[in-house]
Amino acid sequence: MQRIALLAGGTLALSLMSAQQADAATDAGTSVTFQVNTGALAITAPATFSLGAGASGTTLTARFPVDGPVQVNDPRGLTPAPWTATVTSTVFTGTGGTPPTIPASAASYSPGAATLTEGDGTFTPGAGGALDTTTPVTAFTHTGGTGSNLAEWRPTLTVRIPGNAVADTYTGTMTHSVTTP
Amino acid sequence: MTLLATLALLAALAPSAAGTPIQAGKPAHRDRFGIKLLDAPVSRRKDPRARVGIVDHLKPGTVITRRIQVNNVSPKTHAIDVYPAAATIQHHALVPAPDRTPNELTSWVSTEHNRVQVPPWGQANVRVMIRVPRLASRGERYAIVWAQESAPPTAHRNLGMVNRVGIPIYLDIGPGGEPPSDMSIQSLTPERARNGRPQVIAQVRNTGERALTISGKLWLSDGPGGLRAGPYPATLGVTLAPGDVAPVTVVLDPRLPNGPWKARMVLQSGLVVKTATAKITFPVTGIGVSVALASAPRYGVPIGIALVLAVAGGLFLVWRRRHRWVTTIRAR
Repeated sequence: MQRIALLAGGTLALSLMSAQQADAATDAGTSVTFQVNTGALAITAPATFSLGAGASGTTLTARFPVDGPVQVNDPRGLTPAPWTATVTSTVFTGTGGTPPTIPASAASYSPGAATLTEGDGTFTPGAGGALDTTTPVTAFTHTGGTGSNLAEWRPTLTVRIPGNAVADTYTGTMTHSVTTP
Repeated sequence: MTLLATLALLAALAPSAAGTPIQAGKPAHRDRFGIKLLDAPVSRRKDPRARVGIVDHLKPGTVITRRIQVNNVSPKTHAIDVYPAAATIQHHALVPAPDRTPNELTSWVSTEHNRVQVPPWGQANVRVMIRVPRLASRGERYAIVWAQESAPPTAHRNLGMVNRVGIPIYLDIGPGGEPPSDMSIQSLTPERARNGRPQVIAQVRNTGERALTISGKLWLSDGPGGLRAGPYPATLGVTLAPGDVAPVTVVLDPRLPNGPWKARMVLQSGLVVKTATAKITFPVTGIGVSVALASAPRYGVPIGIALVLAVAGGLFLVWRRRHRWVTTIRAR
């Protein structure tokens, strides 16, 4: 009796599950798809960067190297072909059990003019500014245009080391995000 | 004959009129990775936005699958993370949230793989599934599906880098059919920028129920001496949430005379296209005379009158019915 009860219970549970799945309807208007043939919006593979060293209260400036710019490559062939690149940063963290930190806003991002562009449309370097952990800073945008395009830029990072910063090796991570609006 | 042949040969070798040297400097190859959408709904075949983003209207309880493709344009295998993260519309733009910030929509999104090893010069397809709960509330949500590669910081190179490319998701939920998408061009304002360039600012309002990604073009005609110019593209697209108002700017050639001109602005978001025409004159400096276009909604006044009549009519019927009933009782 017990076994039968268990079996019945098991079967009931299974049928409920599958009934639920069957009920999850696929919207007929949206489940029939076609293959899209645009190119893939691409960004350069990331490379670590050395910010250098400095005493508290000093300012470090470093620019992305000539052979390591940020490049957004847009082979999608759209008209218009907009994309936006934004940047955020983590806090800079020292070492040890309770590591000292330097806020992300101590670092400032300046994209500079594009070092290379291809294609038409409007390439606009972002205003840049102090980096933040949540609010993105605009690095570069492309608007309008007809067809494939690309832009390369070598941003300059300026870090104002706070006067009260503890001597340590600080690490942080910067994120470049590129998306279609 | 020999002299002619030599001259002809020299002419052939000389750079073309466009001035491109024979050894055109090809940009150095940059190792990179990209993302693209592989599937779009047939019902949105004509919508350009549906080819670069997951744009859809779904009923609660629906499940859809869309494939994206990550490609690797480099001679080495790269490990690429794929995941959804939140996005919002702020300051007339789609703004990505940092890292893997979740929101309601991302909780409905899952990817077939979290990380793919993409071979050199190769691709990897990843299925993205969106499961809309049965009790999902009505409205449009935004998120981005990211393809990301990380280079963590080391002792000697203390700034790690994370680069990512994304595909936006504009997902509207609701029973029944898709809510309308529409916009209204409220005014065209000619201006002279500080650098002397003439500009036309179109004030646009999203009058529909879905976000719009607006781009545009401007044509000038009937100018001084019968001049025509353009089309000039809008320099900055805007992403507008329903109800938002934003300026769309078109920058023109500084050689254009002030006018007067007949300006024709065409704004577009996916399949929604709106045209506005106005007579404008560029000012010598600063902001010129704005031309208001869309006034109160065309149907507003007659609908208002109809509503008032309907309410009055209803009240009258109710009054009549009560009066009659009371009269009947008295008669007994």
